[in-house]
Amino acid sequence: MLYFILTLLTLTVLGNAPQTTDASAQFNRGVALQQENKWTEAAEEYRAVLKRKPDHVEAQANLGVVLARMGKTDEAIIAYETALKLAPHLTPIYLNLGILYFRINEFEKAINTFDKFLETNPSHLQARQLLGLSLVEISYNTAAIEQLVPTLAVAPNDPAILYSLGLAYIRTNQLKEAEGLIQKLAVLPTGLAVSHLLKGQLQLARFEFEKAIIDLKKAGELNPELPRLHYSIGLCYYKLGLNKAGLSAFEAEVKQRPKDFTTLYYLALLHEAEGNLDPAKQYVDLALAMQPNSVEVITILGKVLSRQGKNAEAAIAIEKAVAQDPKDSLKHYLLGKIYRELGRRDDSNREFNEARRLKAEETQTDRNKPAKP
Amino acid sequence: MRYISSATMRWPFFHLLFWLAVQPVLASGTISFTDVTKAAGITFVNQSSKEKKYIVESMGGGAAFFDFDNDGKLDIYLTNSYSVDEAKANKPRPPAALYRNLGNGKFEDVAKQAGVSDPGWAMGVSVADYDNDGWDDLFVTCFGHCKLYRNLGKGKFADVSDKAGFTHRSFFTGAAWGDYDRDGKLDLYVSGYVDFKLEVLPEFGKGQTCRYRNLEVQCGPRGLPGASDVLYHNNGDGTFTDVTKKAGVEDKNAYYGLGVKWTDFDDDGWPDIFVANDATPNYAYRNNHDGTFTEMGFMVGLAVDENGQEQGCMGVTIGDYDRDGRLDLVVTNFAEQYNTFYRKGADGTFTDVTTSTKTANTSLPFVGWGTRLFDYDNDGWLDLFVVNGHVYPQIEGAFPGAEYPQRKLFYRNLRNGTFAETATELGTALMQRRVSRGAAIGDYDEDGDLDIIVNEIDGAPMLLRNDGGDKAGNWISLKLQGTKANRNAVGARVTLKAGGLTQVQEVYAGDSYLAHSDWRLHFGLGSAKTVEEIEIKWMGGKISKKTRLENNQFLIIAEP
Repeated sequence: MLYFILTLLTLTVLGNAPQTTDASAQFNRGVALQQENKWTEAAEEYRAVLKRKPDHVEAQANLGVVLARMGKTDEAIIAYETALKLAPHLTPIYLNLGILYFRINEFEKAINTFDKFLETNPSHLQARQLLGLSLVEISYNTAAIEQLVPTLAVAPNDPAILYSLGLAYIRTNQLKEAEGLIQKLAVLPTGLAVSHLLKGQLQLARFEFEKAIIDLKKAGELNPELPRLHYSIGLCYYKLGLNKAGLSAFEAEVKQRPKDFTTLYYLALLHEAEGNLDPAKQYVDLALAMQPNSVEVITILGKVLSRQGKNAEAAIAIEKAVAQDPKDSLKHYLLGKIYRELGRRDDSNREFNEARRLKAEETQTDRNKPAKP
Repeated sequence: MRYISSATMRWPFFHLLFWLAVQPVLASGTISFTDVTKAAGITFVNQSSKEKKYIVESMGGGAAFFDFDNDGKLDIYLTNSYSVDEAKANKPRPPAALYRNLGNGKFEDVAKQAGVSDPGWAMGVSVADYDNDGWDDLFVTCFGHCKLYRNLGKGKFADVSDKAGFTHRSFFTGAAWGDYDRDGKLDLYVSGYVDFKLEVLPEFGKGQTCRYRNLEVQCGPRGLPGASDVLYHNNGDGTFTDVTKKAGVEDKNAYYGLGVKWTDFDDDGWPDIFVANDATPNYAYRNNHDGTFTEMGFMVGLAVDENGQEQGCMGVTIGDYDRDGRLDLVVTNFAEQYNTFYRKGADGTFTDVTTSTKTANTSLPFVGWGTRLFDYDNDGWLDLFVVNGHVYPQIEGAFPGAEYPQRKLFYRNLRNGTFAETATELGTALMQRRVSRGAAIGDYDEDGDLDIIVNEIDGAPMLLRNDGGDKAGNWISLKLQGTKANRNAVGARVTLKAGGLTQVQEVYAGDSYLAHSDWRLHFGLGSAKTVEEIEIKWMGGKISKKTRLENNQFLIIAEP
C-alpha cells in the first residue's frame, strides 16, 4: 500500500435517528463531538447509544469512523461489520470498511468490499482505484489493469495509479507499457522515487538484477519508506544467490510491512537456506498465521523441522504439502529424504521414484522455457 | 625422476637425505601457480568463434595429462574448437595439439606426426589403454563422429574409430572409461549433450530460450532436444558394442549430458556411473553386477541440489575431502548456482553440504567447468580447484559485474569441513580472466606437487606450475598397473594410512570436464615421514597391501 495514496474516506452517517429522545440526543452529541474531532468523547457517546439501542445502525457506523480515526482498526472493522449486518443497504460503510481492510493488507476482503460498494456507486473513482490497487497487491494483475486504466484516464498524474498499473504491466509482461508509465512518473514532482522503484522492478523482471539494485537504491535515497522497495532489493539479492544481503533487505521491508505475506515467506526461505533455523521458524509461523494452507510455507516448515532433527514432525508437514501439490517433484524429493532419515526405506524409495518421474515430466515441459536465475 | 617398476624401489637414499636436508617445510602461503605456458613452448591457440552464436561453439576444450610415449614424463593433449560458419564454408579445422614433454620444462607439439591433430569437431578427451598393450590410447569426443586413436607406440597413433565401432554421430561431450563387467577390459561411457544439426540451426537470440537476462544469446540447451548417452562394451578384440539399451543406461529423458565419471559409489566393488547433466537432473547408475544398471540419482542424493532443484552441471570431481574414508563428489555449475558439494554419509547416500563447506557464495557469479579435488600443498587434505568462463560473450559488461572471461577459483581445505577461497594468494595467474573449460591435474615436472593444464576456449591454454607445493609437505605418488584387472587399474581403490590419518583415492579414466588427469594417485603426507600402510583394492576384488613406505617417492605398484 502506498503511503501517499490513502486519504481515509470517513463517510459519517449523520442520519435522522428515529430513536428515543435520549438516544437521539446522545447520538447527536456524538456527531457534534465527531465533527470537532473529539474522537474519544464521540466514541463514548456512540457506545452509550448502542448500549441502549444495540440496533442503532448510524451509531454503529459512526463508531466505526471514530475508532478508525483513533487508529483502533480492528475495533473499527467490527463496528462496520456489525453496522452492515444491521443495514446492508448502507453502501458508504462498504467503502470505509474496504479502506480498513486495505490498510491492514486484507486485500481479498478489501476487494469483495469495494466490489459491493461499486455495485451501487460504479462511477466512484477512488473506490475503483483502491479496488485496482488491492488487485495488484494479490497479483490479480489483469483484473487490476481493467480497474486502473479507466481511473488513470481521470487522474493521469496520480502516482499511485501510475505505479500500481506499472507493476501490473510488469507482472503481465507488458514491459513497454510499464516503461511508458515509468517515464511519466519520472517527470512528476512527487514521482521520481516511485519511478526508480518501478524501473528497478522492471529490471528485476528482465533478470537485470544488478541494474535493478542501482535503481532501487536510488529510490531508497529519495524515499526509504517506499513500500516494496526493500522487498525488491531483497529479491534481486536472492536471485543473485546473495542470501545474506537479501535477508537484510527483507528484514527492512518487514519492519515497514509486518503483515506482507510474501516478505515473510522470503525471510523464512532465506533464513532456512542460511541455516538460521530459529528465525526461519519464526517467520514460518508468522506467514502461516496469515495463510495457514500456504503449501510453500508448509514446505519450508518441513525443511526447518527436518534440519532441527524433528523428522517425524517434518514428515507430517511435507506430507501435507505433497497432498496439496502432488505433482511437484521437489516436495516428493524432500519427503523421500525425510523418510530416509526416519529409516522408512520403502516409503523413501517410493517418494524418490515419484520425484524422478515428475522431474522428467517437468523437464520435458520446461525444455522450451528459458532458464531462470 | 623416472618410474621404478617395483614397489620396493625408490629414489636413491642419498637423494632423499639431501632433499630433507635442504628443503624446509614451507607454509602453504608460499605456494603459487605460475603460468609457464609460453616458457614451456606451448603455442597452441584454441580458435573458437568470437560470438558463440551456437551452443556447439561454446562447449569444447578438452585437456589431458598422459604419457603417450612411455618415457615416464607427462605429455599434454588439447582439443581445438571450430565454428558453424567455418564448417559451412568447409574451412579446415584448427588443429589439436599433442605436446611431448621434453623433460626440461619444455614441450614440443607432435600432434601431426602422431596422427592426432584432426580428430574432428572436437570436444573432450579421455585416455585409456583399452587394449591392455601397455600404451595409452586416446578417445576424443566430437560433434559428429568420436575418434578412437590406438597408440601404436613409437609416437604414432592410428584412427581405429570405424573399425572399433564408433560410427554414431551426435553431439558428444564427456567420456570416461570403466570396467563395468570386471572382465579386465575397459568399457566406455560417452555423454550426449543436445541434438544439434547444422542443417537446422537455431536462430541466435530468437525466442525465449535464446535469451539470458534480457540479452540475445545463443540457443540452448533449453529449447533443444537432448542427445542420448552411449555405453560401449569393450569386446576385447579391438571392437566395441553399443550396449546402452541392454545395460539400461539409455538416457530415456534425453537429459543434457556433460561430465562423466565411473566410481564405485555404493562400495560394492563394481563401478557405477555418474553423469553430470546440464539444466536437468544428474544420473547415478548403480551397477547391478549383471551387465545392467539402475538409475539411482534421486535415491542416493546426487540428482539435484539440496532443495530438489536440477542445476546446470558441467564438470565433476570425486575425493574424500573430510577424510572420513568415503568418497565425496563435487559438480561445477552455471552462474547463480553454487558448485555443489555432495558429502557421502555412512548410509551410502550423499547430502548437499555446499553451504556448510562455505564454498557456496564465492562460486555464484561463475560458470564452472573443469574441477578437481587435489592436495596442492601436500598437507594431506584435498583442496578444490575450479576453472570458469561464461558461455555468452554478450554478457561482458552488459550489467555491473558481468564477466565473460572469469578467473579461477581455488579453495583451500581448512581441515574442519570448510574451505577458504584463496586464489588471490596463489599468484596472479589464477586471477587472470579466461574462458576456461577442460582442466587436468598432474605432476608434469615431477617435483612432488601437482600442476594444472587448462584449455581456454578463446585463446592460449594455461600450464600452471605448482611452485612450492613440494616443499610444503611430504607426499607419495602411486601408479598402479593391473595385470588381471585392466592395465590402467581404473577402478582400483587405494586406502593410505600415514601420520595417524587415512586417505582414500580411486583411479579414474575421465575427469573434471572433458579431461583426463595423471594416472598417478598423489597423496600429500604433511609432516609424516613414512606411509604406514597402503591397501589396494583392485578391480575384481583382489586386495594387496604395502607397509612402511618412505615418503617423497614415485612408486609403480603392479597387481600381484
